[in-house]
Amino acid sequence: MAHDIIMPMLGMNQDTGTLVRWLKAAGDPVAQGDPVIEIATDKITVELEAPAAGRLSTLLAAEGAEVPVGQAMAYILAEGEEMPSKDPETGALSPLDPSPAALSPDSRVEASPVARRLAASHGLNLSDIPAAGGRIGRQDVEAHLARQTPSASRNPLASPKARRMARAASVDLAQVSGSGPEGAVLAADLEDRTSPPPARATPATDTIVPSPKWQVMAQRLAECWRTVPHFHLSRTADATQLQAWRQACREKYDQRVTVTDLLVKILAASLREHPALNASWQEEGAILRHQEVNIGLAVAVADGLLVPVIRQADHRSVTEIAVERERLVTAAQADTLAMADLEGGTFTVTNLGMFGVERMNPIIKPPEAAILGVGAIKEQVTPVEGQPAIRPLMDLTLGCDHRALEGATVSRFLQTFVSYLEAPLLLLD
Amino acid sequence: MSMRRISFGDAIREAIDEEMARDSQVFMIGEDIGAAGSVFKIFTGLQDTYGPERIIDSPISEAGIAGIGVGAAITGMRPIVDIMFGDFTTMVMDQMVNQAAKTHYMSGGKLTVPMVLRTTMGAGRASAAQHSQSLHAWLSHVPGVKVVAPSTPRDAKGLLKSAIRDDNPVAFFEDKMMYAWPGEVPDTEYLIPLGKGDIKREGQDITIVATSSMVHESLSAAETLASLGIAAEVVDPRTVSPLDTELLIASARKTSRALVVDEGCQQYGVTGEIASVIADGAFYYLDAPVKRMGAMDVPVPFAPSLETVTIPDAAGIVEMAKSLCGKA
Amino acid sequence: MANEGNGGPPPDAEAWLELYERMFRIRCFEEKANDLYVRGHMPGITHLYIGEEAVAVGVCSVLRPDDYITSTHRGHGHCLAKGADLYHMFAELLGRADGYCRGKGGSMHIADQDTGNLGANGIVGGSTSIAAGAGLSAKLRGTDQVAVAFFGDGALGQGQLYESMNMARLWRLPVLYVCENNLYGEYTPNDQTIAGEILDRARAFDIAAQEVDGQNVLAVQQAAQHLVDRARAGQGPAFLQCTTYRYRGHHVGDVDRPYRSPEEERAWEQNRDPLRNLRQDLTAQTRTDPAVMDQLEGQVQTEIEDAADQALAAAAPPATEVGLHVYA
Repeated sequence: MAHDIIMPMLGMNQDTGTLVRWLKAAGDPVAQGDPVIEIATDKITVELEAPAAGRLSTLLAAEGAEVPVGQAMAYILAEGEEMPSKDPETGALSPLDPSPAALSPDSRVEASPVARRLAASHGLNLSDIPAAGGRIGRQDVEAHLARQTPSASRNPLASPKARRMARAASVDLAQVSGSGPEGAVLAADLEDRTSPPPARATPATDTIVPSPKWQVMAQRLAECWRTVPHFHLSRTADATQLQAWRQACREKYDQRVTVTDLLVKILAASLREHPALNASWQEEGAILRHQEVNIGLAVAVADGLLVPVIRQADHRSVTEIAVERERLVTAAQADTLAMADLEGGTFTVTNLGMFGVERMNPIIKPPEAAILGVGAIKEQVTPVEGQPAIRPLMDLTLGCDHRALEGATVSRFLQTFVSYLEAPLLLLD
Repeated sequence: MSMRRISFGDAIREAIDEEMARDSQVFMIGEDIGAAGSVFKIFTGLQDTYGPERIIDSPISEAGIAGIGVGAAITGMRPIVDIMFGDFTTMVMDQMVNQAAKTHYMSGGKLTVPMVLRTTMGAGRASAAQHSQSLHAWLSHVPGVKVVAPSTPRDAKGLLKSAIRDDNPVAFFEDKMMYAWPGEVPDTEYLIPLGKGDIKREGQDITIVATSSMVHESLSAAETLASLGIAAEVVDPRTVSPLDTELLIASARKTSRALVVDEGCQQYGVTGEIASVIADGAFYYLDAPVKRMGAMDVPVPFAPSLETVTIPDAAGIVEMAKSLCGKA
Repeated sequence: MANEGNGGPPPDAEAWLELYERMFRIRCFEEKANDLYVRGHMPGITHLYIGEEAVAVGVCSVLRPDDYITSTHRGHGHCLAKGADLYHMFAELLGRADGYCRGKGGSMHIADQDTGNLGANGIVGGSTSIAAGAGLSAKLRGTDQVAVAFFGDGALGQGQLYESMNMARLWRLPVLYVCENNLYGEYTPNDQTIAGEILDRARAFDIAAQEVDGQNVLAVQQAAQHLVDRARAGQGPAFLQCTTYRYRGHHVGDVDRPYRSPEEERAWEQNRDPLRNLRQDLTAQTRTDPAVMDQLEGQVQTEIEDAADQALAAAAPPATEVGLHVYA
């Protein structure tokens, strides 16, 4: 058997070694333990010994060459043996596998690690950034960023809270005299300005300054729609069994149970089976899978949209879900929700069926990966076993973050969800 | 709930007594904790109850008893290692940082180290620079260790019982100035979870986050501030690591101002971490910079006239809070 | 030679063969580990036990599965001798999810409580007090388990060892301190680092101390049997110095070894190799056919290759596990 002489790994983080000189020539006979090659790393120079007795093969690397760790530089051949023409183990000989991230197209661009990180944090392609020298450095990325950002007019000093209030009330901070250090505008300086501005003379329009809650909603949804690549998948489901289930619940329990409650129950079970949907995309490039299934319900209130959360929905019975839903919706409308009621959601449901809406393309609630839009249940003609029949049908649409999910996974989830919806007894399995 | 008044030191002893009575795996090892009942005299009589096998008087070998604690914890016991002065935690750093903190992680979750390292903190006794430091920030820098610094007898007892039952190494810092201080504790058994802070006083104008004995300075400052028309909210994280970040951020968002007070040195300290958490989580709600008050960045001096200058006090807290509220 | 004359027990061919197999398995494992490392498959750094097999195998052969060991950075031999499985060992060395520590520990930190292995340790004296803690735990729990601390001569320079030995003797803990004296602490001959006699250090604590040829597995076994029996019977700790030699460098990258001569290395390998010597004894004293040993070696080699191949094909832990097991 031919024995390879490889460039060995002799220290941490070593990718290559230098072949200093050959101590034997091709074809020379060698005994086991004879020094054959002198190699050097950044720390050490050492002679490599022949792993077996035999004859030295053709030399596969020249003196002075940088040889990757694990690569064969020659073989020791037995009498009459030929050099392996192609090492069948080549794959196994490769040094530590680079992480998949390192294989992105950008990995071919020469750049310093700092530059690479900086570019990634601003969502820039390294290949778009001109380098002043041979490789892209931090200054290059910063210069590129500066070119992209139009220089903002000098901002007046203001506290973060004052800035937020000014933005919400469309107040120009430059017009406000500040009472803080160095004339900084503080919240108190804006208190008399946050009432709506006087109506303009133009009779054809009405300017409405919505509540802070509405401002937050507008800001978040705009940001989400701008930055999260959405895709939507829809299915129609037969709600016959769902309606029968709700009827049964109404007869059995004092607590009023709604279609939404049943959908939350089914949804929670489906998410347990498909944890990929109960997830969040992380800006640093990872997907976070949530241990808890916490389902948010989109609730329209007078001055905006709130999404209170039914925590650990997968651990709750239908009536427990109904009780919690009732509490949350009532509190949302009375504006008495606690912070804790609004936090921790991992998936959201929005149901406009009660308004007769048949189908919608919902926007996700970041950082959740998906949202379910529920349409109205309507009696429609549909083929059943080859015959036209009238059945209650409903459309379901999932809005998804394409960074965290792709179509096939979501389709499989929908499959599970619809199968439970159409045959809720499966939940007992 | 019916309550009793006991001292902070008694609360510590009761917690240990109750847990040792409840669980035969619990034992305590440390210097002078046997017949002497510790140099702070908080364990008088405990060795009579549990014997020298479970209240173990050790040589002056901090590194060794910490290591013995780790070994016993890995093999089914729940040791409480008593390190007389917080200053001596420097001697146990290898066992706490390289062993206790990492064993669960390095073993891929197979081994656990349910051990409590109790020690003290706090200046004020004219004990000079090697018996007065508050080094809780050191261990808070190490993932895998939980760090607790209670402010009242009630919290101390409930938190220590939780710490003993916790499956992780927990460093428990007791301000030695507080051992004699009284406070109310429930008559019946109770636990206080690690990692949960507590609002010690509600207010709308400024959040004062304080730990250990600094909670009392802050509450006293809040009284004065109230007379000046400033309603201060005093928040005690109770557990320094992991921090109850939610509570801290929610309070700062509500009041739009925050001041952090802790007896560790200010540089690279607990105040820095908490201030950063608040600045990050409440930034858009803040109307003033987040300020912090730690111990002065000097070794603790001996002379009382010098020592008192180094520790944050109520008067200083009042001044800082007033300036943050624009009423200086 | 190992068992010449002097009225010892008659040779037991089967028992000797088992010792041979265990030593050969460790040697073969280490050769394969070296090969995996130099080919760039193994991340990090690794320290090989080749040459010292008789120590781990001799000592562990007298331990029960529920006895404890603590190990060192040069720990593969201890883990295997205490019963670790080849596949999970290789998987850990390669940073795979199937490894003993789910890829979180690596070569230097293998722990496996199922075989009583409380963990290999990267701090040379760090595990000596942990072993004492395991001994204290056994005593408090009323079992007759024994804890063995393996450590190298390098650990003689760290104070934790002495704190631990002092308390182990004070409280008569069932601990065996096994000092693997391989003559070099990392890259330095230990006549430059150790003052006085090694055994005197243990004797100063009134600990039973003994020296044995660490290249003679039967001698190690006999000495360990006596000291472990003694500890199990409540007669307190003991110290066993095993003189041995690592054939390779401090770690795999230490290939030129300017601190010792090639002649010295050759002399140990050729004259004092524990495998070669036991093989000779097996042939001469028990009339075991060399073919039996050849066959055994072939089987072990196949096991090693299979386990390594399987581990190479195993999956790395997903990045989502990075935060797992920081806290229990």
